[in-house]
Amino acid sequence: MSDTLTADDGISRRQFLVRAAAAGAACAAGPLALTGPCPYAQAQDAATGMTILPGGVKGNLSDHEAMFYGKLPEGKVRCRLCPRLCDVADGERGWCGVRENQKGTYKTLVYGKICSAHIDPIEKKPLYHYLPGTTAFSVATAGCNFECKFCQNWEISQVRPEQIPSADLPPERLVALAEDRKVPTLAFTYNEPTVFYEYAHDSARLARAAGVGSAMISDGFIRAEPMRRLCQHLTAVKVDFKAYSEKFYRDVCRGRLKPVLDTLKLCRKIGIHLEIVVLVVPTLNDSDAEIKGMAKWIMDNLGPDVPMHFSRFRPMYRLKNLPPTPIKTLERARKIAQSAGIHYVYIGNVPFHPAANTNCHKCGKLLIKRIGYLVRENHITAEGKCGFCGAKIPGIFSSKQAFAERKA
Amino acid sequence: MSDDAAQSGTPKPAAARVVIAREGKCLKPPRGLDARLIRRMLDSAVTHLTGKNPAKAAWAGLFAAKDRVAIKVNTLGHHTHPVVAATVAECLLACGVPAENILIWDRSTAELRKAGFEIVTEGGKPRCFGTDSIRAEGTRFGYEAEVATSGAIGSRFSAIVSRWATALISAAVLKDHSLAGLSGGLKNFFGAIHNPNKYHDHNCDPYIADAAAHRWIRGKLRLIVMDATYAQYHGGPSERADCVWPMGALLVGTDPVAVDAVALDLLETHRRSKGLKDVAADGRPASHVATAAKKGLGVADLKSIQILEV
Repeated sequence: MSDTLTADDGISRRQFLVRAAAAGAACAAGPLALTGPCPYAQAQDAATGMTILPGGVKGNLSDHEAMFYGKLPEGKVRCRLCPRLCDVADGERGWCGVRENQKGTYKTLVYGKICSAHIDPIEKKPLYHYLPGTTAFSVATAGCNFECKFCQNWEISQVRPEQIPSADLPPERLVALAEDRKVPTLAFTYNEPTVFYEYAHDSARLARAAGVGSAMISDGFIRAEPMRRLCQHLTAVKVDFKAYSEKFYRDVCRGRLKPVLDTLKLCRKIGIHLEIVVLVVPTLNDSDAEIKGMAKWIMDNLGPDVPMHFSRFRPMYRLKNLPPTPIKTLERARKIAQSAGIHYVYIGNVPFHPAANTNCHKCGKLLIKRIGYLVRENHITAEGKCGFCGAKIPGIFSSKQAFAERKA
Repeated sequence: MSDDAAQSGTPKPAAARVVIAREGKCLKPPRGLDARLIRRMLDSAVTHLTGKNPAKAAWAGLFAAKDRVAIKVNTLGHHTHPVVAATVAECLLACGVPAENILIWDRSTAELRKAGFEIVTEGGKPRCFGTDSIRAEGTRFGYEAEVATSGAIGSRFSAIVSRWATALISAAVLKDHSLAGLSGGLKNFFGAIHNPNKYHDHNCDPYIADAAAHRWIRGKLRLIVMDATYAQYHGGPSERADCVWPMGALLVGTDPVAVDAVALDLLETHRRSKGLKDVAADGRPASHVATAAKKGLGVADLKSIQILEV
């Protein structure tokens, strides 16, 4: 479904990934040697056949001072970016694995160090009420501040930056590429953007100035002040509302629910476009009571107009012992959310399901018909109104709306 | 301390025995070591530990000539002294383990080099390189591509522990740790997983025990040689020159929990002598030692550990 793009200097993404993987397998030089011969002599271990490279991995790491940290006695720092508030000794890294205390200065190691780049349909994020039918220039780095047992991108999210090939894509170049490709939105996605905050922040700021939007595809596990600052430059946020229980967050994601709820409320207060995704995992977060509780919380705190997506789980990473979510479970969850009063409730990861379409909450007419990630029909006006009854449809349906002034 | 001590009164081996070999003269300040004395200390410790004499027999009782022995050092911050690791390798050579079957390692070749280790990947000497130097099918940057789980741990393990080694030696350094209270022989194996940062919650407990309980660690760990020549009683794991404690000792045992329990006791005693709080009172209890004992990895109760000072 996605376009093949030039990730950097004329290398297509596919070429980039293939060459990066090949370089990683054959030589320790990492991404900087994607196009060159292996610079190191190699030794062979007779017992196991393993190849030994004297240089190890140099690591394509950035040397960019982090935002949101404080200095502590004895050379330690406290990261104030996410609710973990990691206290990090000199030479150590935070929980995310991509931010390091270097002699009392906290550094992000992934500023502009992109391990995945793609032009995706915006529907893939998923954002259904944000410039439907357009694309998003999607980028990721290594690292995450959660460890979800079902993570589909764990090979980038659960590794350190020196354990995966990456390419240099500074904010200026990223925005220029998006403009060149006429892609209206950047998406910080695949891994958790909070951990590459500085890069996302600077890219989104430049993008806004260039008339390009920015979407954060997030777990919502970020502190209020960094989120508020980032939202000044973003045009949309999607939050994974993983479950409505602290137990699930603790046991399955190694996170906490409360800070995520706070982020959702903050997005509402700021007035930034927000959509919510719930990955429904059989037996773990799919009870009627939990879905009801979640829907009620959304109604009470965010109102009926935040689009909600119930996505189908597939066995992945460390959660391979459960079956894919039955479609009936997703349909039941959708019904519960609709009964609670939420206007736009979708089913995701189920190709051709009618609940991927958008119907006007007022007149019920079909507004957007989707086949997979493709938009086949769109009857929402650029002013964000139903093309049939004129009802206001929540979301961003034009560039003008994307850059309109917000509440806070 | 002398070799004679072992010859004259060789004690009977016990399950939880920790030998503390002390020799202040091994220190060559500010941070040097007398390699000859370190060798004597180590041989003496192993003979007392095993009850076998001479030292060659003691080492041969622990390692066979066909073993591939991986000596895991700690190179982050206050690090294992290269002389200690080299001496362990020398003892292995002396008992018949061939040079190509001996490896001094940590997670990264660059960190080893920075800590003063000479990188050796081939030739007639024991080798020394980091996990990240390995390339092999089914691995990613030296770690197994597949995630292995032990307790709450979901990690890629170093191919050194999963594929190369048949035996492990934990050549940790005795030091204070800002989260775990103690960085000892058990925590040393955070360097064998690709994502140690994910295991810092709750003062690294139960994660240190979880990692050490994995079959690739637990099933291969034969000996702990804790470098307490220049220990560090505060400010770890980073290097803090003002908190270095010239103890001139090696802690040697086959029970990783017992060695850590003894190390923790020494650390706390020294901290008190410096007017510092216990690590627990300082908000970073080394509770992982007791957790490791509960998991059956060894003995944490000091009363049940035979401590021999030589």
